[in-house]
Amino acid sequence: MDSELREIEHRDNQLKSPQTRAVSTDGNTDPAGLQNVRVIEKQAQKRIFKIIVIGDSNVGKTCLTYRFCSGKFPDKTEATIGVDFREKQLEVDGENLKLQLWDTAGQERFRKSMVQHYYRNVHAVIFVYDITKMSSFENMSQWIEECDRHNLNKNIPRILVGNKCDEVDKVAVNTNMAQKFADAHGMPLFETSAKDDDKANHVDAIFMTVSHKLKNAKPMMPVHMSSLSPHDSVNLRGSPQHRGLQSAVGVGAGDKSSDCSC
Amino acid sequence: MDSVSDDESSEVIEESSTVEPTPTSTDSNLRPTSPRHRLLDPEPPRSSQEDEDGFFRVPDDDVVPSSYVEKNKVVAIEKALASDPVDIMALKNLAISRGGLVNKSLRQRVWPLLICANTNNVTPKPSQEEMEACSKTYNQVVMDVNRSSSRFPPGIDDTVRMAVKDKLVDLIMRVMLKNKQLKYYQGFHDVCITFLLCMDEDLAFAMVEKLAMSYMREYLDDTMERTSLLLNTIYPLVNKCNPELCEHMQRNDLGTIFALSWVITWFSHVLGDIKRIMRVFDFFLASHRMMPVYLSAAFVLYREQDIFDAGDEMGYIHKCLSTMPSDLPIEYLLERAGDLYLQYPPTEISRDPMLIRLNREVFEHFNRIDSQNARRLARANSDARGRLFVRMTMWTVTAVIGVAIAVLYHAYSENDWHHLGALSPFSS
Ligand SMILES: Nc1nc2c(ncn2[C@@H]2O[C@H](COP(=O)(O)OP(=O)(O)OP(=O)(O)O)[C@@H](O)[C@H]2O)c(=O)[nH]1
Ligand SMILES: [Mg+2]
Repeated sequence: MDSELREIEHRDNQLKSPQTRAVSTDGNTDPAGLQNVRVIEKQAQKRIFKIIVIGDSNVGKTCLTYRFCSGKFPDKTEATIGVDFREKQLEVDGENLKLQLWDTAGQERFRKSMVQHYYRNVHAVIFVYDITKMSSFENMSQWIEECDRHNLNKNIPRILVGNKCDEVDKVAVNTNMAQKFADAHGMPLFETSAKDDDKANHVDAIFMTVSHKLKNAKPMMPVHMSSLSPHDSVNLRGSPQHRGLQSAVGVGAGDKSSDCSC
Repeated sequence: MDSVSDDESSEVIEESSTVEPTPTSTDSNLRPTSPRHRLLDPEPPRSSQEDEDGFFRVPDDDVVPSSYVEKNKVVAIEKALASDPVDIMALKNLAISRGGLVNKSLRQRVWPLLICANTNNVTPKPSQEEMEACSKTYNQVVMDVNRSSSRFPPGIDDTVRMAVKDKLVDLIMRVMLKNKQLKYYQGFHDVCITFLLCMDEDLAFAMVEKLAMSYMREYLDDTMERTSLLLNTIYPLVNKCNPELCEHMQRNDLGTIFALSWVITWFSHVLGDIKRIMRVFDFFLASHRMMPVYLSAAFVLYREQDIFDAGDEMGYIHKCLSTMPSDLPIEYLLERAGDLYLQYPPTEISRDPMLIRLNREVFEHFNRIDSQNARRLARANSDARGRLFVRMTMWTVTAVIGVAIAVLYHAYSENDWHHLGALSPFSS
């Protein structure tokens, strides 16, 4: 077992060192360490697996999914507002797959109102916390509870990921504690880093583990086949000039500023 | 770029009844200062490419208007500003029409007038302690501001960017602390940056606070319920213009999240180029508060072909809509949004059966959350009550045993140990 990745537990043998190969969709170079890269024809019918990535704000969900799909740590990240979609094609044990990742916003208000929309039809859930921030770990049980509530099928694979383990002198969540928690919820635990280039393989391996599990599991959710890929063309129509667009009602319509004093 | 003043005092808006901040106050934000919010990540050291005096200026602005049309516009704006009273209707028309308000110094003068922002007696900044005491909001704000670098124009000096980020935290916290009923959301910082890149802190505060209490009030609620209702309006609008496209989106269960960042950041999160963003802000500040929704519908309609091409795959449609083409015809889209607004005004669209149906789903969802919360609260309470019950039982048992022992002891001591009788609770 790789000591740096610290993949702490293998619940079943399927999880062990999956024989996988990766092909990136957008022509990005593959992270080092994954050999036998070859191009997969776009036309081929592929099974598609949908994975939702959730956890508190700032734990690194966007960086992790970006690392996996584009092979690098993003130069500049931004807070996710709503949901971002990323995709990567993989070859797992000779089968071409597509992994679709839904990178969700961490702020509570967003998850309360919209994340449930993306829980529908997902094949796996990745819970992410930040090993340098205890509160992000403590909130995991809330995320799990919410996931239980939204997911009709509780048997779909779930994994727990502790991110930012490059920050060795800021560790706040120790591995033992996280492991106990993961055990209690029947999930494998991974500690990794989206940032550390040396750990790029490990991030990949995490997603590979999930793919492998999904591939070999009996499909519990309907698995989709890939459809057309988008291409660019736009439709421009002329339109008349503006008239009377201004807000007719004074700007203060609905304004409550006057009666609020703090 | 010529009329930049170093005058520190110009940063504070004078107490005068006429709202005319000096155009020279613009770049006081864009000057390096020593950062105070220590949680802000330091900018990586870089070879500095400072302007002469360590200033940075947003490209575009304050340059002499280039085209003939722009020159005419500047004249018209100046005329509307000079008339007594200021011709607000004319300014709104100028902000909406092609090219908007042309440049930064005009925006500083016109924007506050468009929304009647109170630029007098601007509330002073809260203290550092006050800001940090509001820890949940403060931490989220700092995390978001830390990740806002891509919103700054390329080429900006690191120390300057750091200084603006510091002011950005101040600005957001100033609004949130003054109006405690507002709840910060990720994306509000994008709105605030836009103002900070255009005007000084105090004027930016006046603008942002006014918006927070009016145009953006729903977005700052506790929950996203009212924002979700607003976003739903995109569907009947698309349906009116292109029922097939609407059907395609609904069949694929697209939802409205693709437009969330568009609406709640007024497109500032996705448009990239600050010039385009300011142009869109001109338009919104002069229009009805629902206009961001109309513009969203216009965006969707414009991408019709790409959306169909994405096929029956929610992810691809979502991806397609959340990627902004670099050659967006902004002026055309604003016009289209304006036409949609005139054709299907808010009062009319609010009665659309499709909207009513979609809104019902939102109500049901939030009712469900409410009742779940209520249940959880009840459970927590009954847990607490349960614990109290156990504790009271324990006390009772202890007390009964205590009494029993005491009685026995009393009986015993009464017979033999009279001198210890004082220890008995029943001794008299
Ligand atoms: N040291 C370190 N920093 C990281 C790592 N991954 C992410 N970060 C940083 O953590 C911050 C948050 O990363 P994001 O990926 O934007 O976080 P997120 O979970 O997507 O946050 P939301 O979109 O707000 O929900 C960024 O400043 C990243 O640079 C990591 O592995 N190590
Ligand atoms: Mg994110």
